[in-house]
Amino acid sequence: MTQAAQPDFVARPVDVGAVERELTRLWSRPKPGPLSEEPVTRACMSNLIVYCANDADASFAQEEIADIVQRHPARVLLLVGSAGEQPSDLEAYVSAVCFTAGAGRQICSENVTISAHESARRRLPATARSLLIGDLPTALWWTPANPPPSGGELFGELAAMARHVIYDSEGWADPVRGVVSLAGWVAGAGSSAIVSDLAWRRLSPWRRLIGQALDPALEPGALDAIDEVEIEHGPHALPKAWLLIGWLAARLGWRPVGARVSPGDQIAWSFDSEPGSVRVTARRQAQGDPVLRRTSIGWRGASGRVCTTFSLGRAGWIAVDRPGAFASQRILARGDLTRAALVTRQLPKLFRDPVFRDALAVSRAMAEALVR
Amino acid sequence: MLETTSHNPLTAGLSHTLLPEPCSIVIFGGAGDLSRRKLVPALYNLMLDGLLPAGIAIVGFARTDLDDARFRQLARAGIEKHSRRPLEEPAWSAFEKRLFFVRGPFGEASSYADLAKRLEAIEPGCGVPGNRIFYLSVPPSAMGTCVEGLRGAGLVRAGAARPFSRIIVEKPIGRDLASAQALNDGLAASFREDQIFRIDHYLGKETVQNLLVMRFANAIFEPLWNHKYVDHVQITVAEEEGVGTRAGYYEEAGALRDMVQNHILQILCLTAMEPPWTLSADVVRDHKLEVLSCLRSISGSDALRSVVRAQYGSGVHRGVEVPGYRREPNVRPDSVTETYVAIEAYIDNWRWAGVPFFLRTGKRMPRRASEIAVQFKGVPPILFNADAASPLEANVLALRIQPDEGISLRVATKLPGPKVRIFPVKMDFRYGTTFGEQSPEAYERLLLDVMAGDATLFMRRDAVEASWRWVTNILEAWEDAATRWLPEYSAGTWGPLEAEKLIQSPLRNWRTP
Repeated sequence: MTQAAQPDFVARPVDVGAVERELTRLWSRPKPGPLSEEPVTRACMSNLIVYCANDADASFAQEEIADIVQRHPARVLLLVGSAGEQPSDLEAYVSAVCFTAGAGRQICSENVTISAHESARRRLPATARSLLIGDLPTALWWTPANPPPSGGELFGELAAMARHVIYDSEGWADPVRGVVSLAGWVAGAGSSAIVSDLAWRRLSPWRRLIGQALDPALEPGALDAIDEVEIEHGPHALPKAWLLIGWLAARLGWRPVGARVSPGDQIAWSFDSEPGSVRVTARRQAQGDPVLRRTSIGWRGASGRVCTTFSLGRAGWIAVDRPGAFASQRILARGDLTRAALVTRQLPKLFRDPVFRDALAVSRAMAEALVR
Repeated sequence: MLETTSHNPLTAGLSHTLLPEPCSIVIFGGAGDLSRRKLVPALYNLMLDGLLPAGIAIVGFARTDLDDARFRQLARAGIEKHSRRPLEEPAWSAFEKRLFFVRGPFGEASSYADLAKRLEAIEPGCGVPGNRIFYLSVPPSAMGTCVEGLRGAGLVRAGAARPFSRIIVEKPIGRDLASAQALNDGLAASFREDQIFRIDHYLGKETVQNLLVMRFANAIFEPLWNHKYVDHVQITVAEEEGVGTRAGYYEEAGALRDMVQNHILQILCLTAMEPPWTLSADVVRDHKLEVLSCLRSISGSDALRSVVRAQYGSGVHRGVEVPGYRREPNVRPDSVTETYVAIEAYIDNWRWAGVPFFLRTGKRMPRRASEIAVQFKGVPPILFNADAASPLEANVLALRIQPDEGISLRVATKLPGPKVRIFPVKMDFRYGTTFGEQSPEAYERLLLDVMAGDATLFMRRDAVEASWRWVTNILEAWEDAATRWLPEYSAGTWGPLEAEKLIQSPLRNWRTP
């Protein structure tokens, strides 16, 4: 349907105070390049504030933004918190990102980059605030690989002007403290705040498949009888494993009662549940991508011990293996799990996700059990 | 649209909360066009999205000489050509294992015995606990035979019993009120109403579903949605194609039966219905039925005044000369089958008293377009609208169903400059450019609904018969008319002059959708 997005204009440095005027000018001058004959539609579903800690991250984010606005046209405010060589303390660039959407139409989004020298970082929120388009939802995508609350006042101010905060817990260096601080911030952020973790979105195919494979219609009684869960994950994927466990526990009514870190990069939790106790283990592999590799769920069935294993296969397919049962034939595509694709899918979801919040709350209890 | 209650807490919050149950889907006419172009690709896409239940078997059933392997080849070709997403080998490899074929003529009891035997053999291995959906992609004349065959072979389970039996039937449901009733009686002899899913793929389209959202999730429209503010409503379903290879069917049907009785009246219902208090299937369908019950009957001489029928003559389509309807293959040279119909209809209730609904459908129109356009009343003739000779154009809210699904609103604005000059501009919202996401095909949504047992988007017997009752009056008036002459319109135009006269007034014209 669409051609690849491309920056239609070379980003022009402009005075920070003149950004709005430059945006207006953007739409009134002839468009250069091969698309110049096509009518241009300026499209905007949201304000999207993207915060990056440095130039390298911002450069990577720019490429992702081009993908995002193809499916979710937005006014993008890319804020760079610690720019390198800065001729002035705040610097702004304005550009448009356009793509052709069939029938000779060009759809364009506005892209404003504001880079701040360390000393000027605290002025970023106020600068961004003046550039938001009214009557449109505002989302903050916090890209640094640390928990958003660690951004302190800067994060607080940016989050306050956004209806929707998106972050990614994949890669957090200290998931235990990260989960505790994040869950604390979410709990205090008020009931209307929409908070999305991209790592949680990456779990959707796992959740869907686990939900289907253990459905009472297929496995009567399984959900009430689970007593063992084992997860293997790659480096930096512990928050994801954590969330998956939090989700299972929240949905099935398990309460964490203890946790133990074992040598060999293994964490074990014990949960209380209505029928008995559940033992959960998360085991980190030494190498590989930051993904969940395998999840085994065991229970005592009517005719003995049963175990269903979900494992990540080639080409991103997740397969179910349930020895002796039909479910072994089931697979599911993980789909496009790049950050850009996940942010794109998350942006239109302007509603709270109580299942995520519940999972996060249990994750927090799991973390607290660990540091107790 | 609806969320079903589940006893599986692990499915809470997942993007599609409809819970399709493990089942076999038996496609009667499984080797046919609909199956290859729409049904199998729809099921494949549902699997890609992880929406098919874990236990599923898809069984093609037809007299065509195929086996499992050849049916799978056919299905693969259908997906490669018609799926909205490309065929991926790992997915196909999992999908094809669920495809089976049973060969047999629909008129022979042994075919159904074979089908029953095959289902019994397949289902345990596919994780299907005996739930069955029978999709009758067959001509109406074969429906009764198929239903009797199913019942005779013990393939129909009564009512709400588990495992369930459900049946999907395609339009046309009959060709007039009497035949629709007979067909429904035939279905009712074997299936309870809540087991019957009468499909109208229009109702699975995003924009049609969005009608209710737009009306009842926005505070600004509903207060204006009545006779006080609405001047008239136009519903257009225009086809670009001629009769093509469907002459055999179309000669017996015509535009009124083919389009108005189902698609257009269903859209009319969603446009005009009162707010339902819940989105449960029966409440929504009760409210739609109310609209049909309030449709003013058009019979006798009214039918000649309020309805225009016509037939396309030769003309130019996309720069190419095309023949008139009567010169199409398999069409009688003296055919009086209408390929175009325009109707001025009224809904006699409090909300819509006196508001005309102009309904229009035709073949060989300049382009394919379906839309609902609500034209509001003009502003008072003072200030900017004081010149009676050139009144301001009224506001129009148009909902495009296809192509380019979206919504537009025509509003008056001031042209830049020192003088006050008014110009109508269009505020345009398109699904394709706003959301970027690809909408699922209508059949994906509808098949999922049947698997989940949600009948909201399907036609209930009483509504089908109410719409046939209204349409049959017109058909009978045409039968009784002294003349059988039909106006002609050139292929590639928006219809005959008579249709212009039907709507024309200083502020009313057919829109160019």
